Amino acid sequence: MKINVRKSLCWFVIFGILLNVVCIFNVGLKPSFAETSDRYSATYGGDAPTPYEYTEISNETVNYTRREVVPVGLVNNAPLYTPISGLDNGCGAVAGAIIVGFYDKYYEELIPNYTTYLSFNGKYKGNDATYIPKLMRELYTLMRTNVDDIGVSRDDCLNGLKAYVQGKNRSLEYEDIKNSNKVDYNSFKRAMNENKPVLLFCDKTVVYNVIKSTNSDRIVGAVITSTAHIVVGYELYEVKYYNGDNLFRTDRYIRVATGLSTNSEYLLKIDATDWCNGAYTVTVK
Amino acid sequence: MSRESKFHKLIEKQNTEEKEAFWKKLESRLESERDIDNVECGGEVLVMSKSRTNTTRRNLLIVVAVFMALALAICLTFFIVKPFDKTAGEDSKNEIEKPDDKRYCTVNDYSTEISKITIKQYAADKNLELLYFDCYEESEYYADTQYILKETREVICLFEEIYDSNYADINLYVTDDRTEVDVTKPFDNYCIKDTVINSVKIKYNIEPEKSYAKFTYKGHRYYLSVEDAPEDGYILGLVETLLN
Repeated sequence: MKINVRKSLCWFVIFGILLNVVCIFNVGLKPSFAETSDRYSATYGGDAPTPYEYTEISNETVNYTRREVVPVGLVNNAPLYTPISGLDNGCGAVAGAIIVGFYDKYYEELIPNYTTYLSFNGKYKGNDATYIPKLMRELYTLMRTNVDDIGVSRDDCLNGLKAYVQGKNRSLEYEDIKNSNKVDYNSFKRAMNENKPVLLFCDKTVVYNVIKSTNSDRIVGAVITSTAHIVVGYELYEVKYYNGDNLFRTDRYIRVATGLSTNSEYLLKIDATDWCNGAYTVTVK
Repeated sequence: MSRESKFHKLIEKQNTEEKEAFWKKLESRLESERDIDNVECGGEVLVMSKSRTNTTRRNLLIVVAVFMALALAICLTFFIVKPFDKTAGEDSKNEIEKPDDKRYCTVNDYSTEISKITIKQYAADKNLELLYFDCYEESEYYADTQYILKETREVICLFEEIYDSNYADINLYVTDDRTEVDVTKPFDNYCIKDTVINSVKIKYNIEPEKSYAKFTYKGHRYYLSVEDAPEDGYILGLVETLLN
């Protein structure tokens, strides 16, 4: 039997390299099929591999002679609730609680016997020990979290929130403001002007900090969840950069309550096309 | 004898001579080979070289050995790389041990609990020298949260939101100096200026909507932010208040 050693060795080496590459990429691949599987689960605990990691991915400096910032946001922003223990993969419940906490200021029966804001300045409080956890647990159940699969589907999240509000004898309507593969700028701006928060279904969450210095901004981008997550948009943050009279750059962001921390600095790029699975203006009346 | 048969014999005779010359050549060449095995098969003699047989076996062994080595490398790659993948599931550790016993904790490592214990009370209970804003009695609102490691129930961070007498909204995070918590990450980005207050190095930044400061003091790290400040630079005054 004749065996061509050189040829055989070459084929085995090629085969082995290919297998190694496949193994490495399979290990490194993170599930990013939120649009296909439509499950949202980024919070701590549970079976979902969804750490809040804050992995920096970009860092750029923009020099200018003048900048203009025109924030358009909800009155007194939105509550910056954070997860409670025991509600694994509960980003839907936290986002829903933020929406309910926001509207409770106007319809106090939404969270009975509890005021979500400070009377002396109207700003929203954070988590308390009793009422907000109770609200989150109820939303968690209504959204059927971890029932069919890990986390919550978009439909279950929307239906669960609606069911809660209707259970308090209020109505809730959604307006889909996703345009192609991103949030529609004009629709989002209108939502802010009408004092309506926006539920954002993210394939991944890449946030930006814009740090201002004299005549320059440093823009730092970081992934805080690499898997599907739900946040609440509460401000349109638009920065226009000038050199002299020349407007050379406009950056448009959505300030979000991530439902992971009390940080109010996190911005999503409204014009990025790689994160938005869904965007809904939420109207309660 | 006919002419044809004469020619035939002549040819055969010639061929025989050539044949004999050929066989002589062949034999001399075969003699130069090391070992010769003559194998009889169907009446024919098959000449095989032992060295050729050995070479074939050796080649086969080499190929099999290389294949096994590659298979082992693939398995090792899979089993070594997979456990360090943070997204692999619950068993993966997110708490990374940095050199010098430093640790970085994410929301996967801790839970947050609303606490009725202020930083002042906590410091007294634990006999720790911690800095805090002692304006609880005149404050319109304050709230405390503890960040607790799930595995050990160790308190790794204290967070206090408090409104002072000027209605400035103050947020204060306190950790020990070997612990970083993910919620304080924005301070690393925002605190870009340097100053010194009471011999303590302060990193800070003042922005229209919110100001930031961070520093280390007696084994603890402090991360301070303020909104609704009554004046520019208010945050440095707050730092001074803490350090006095």
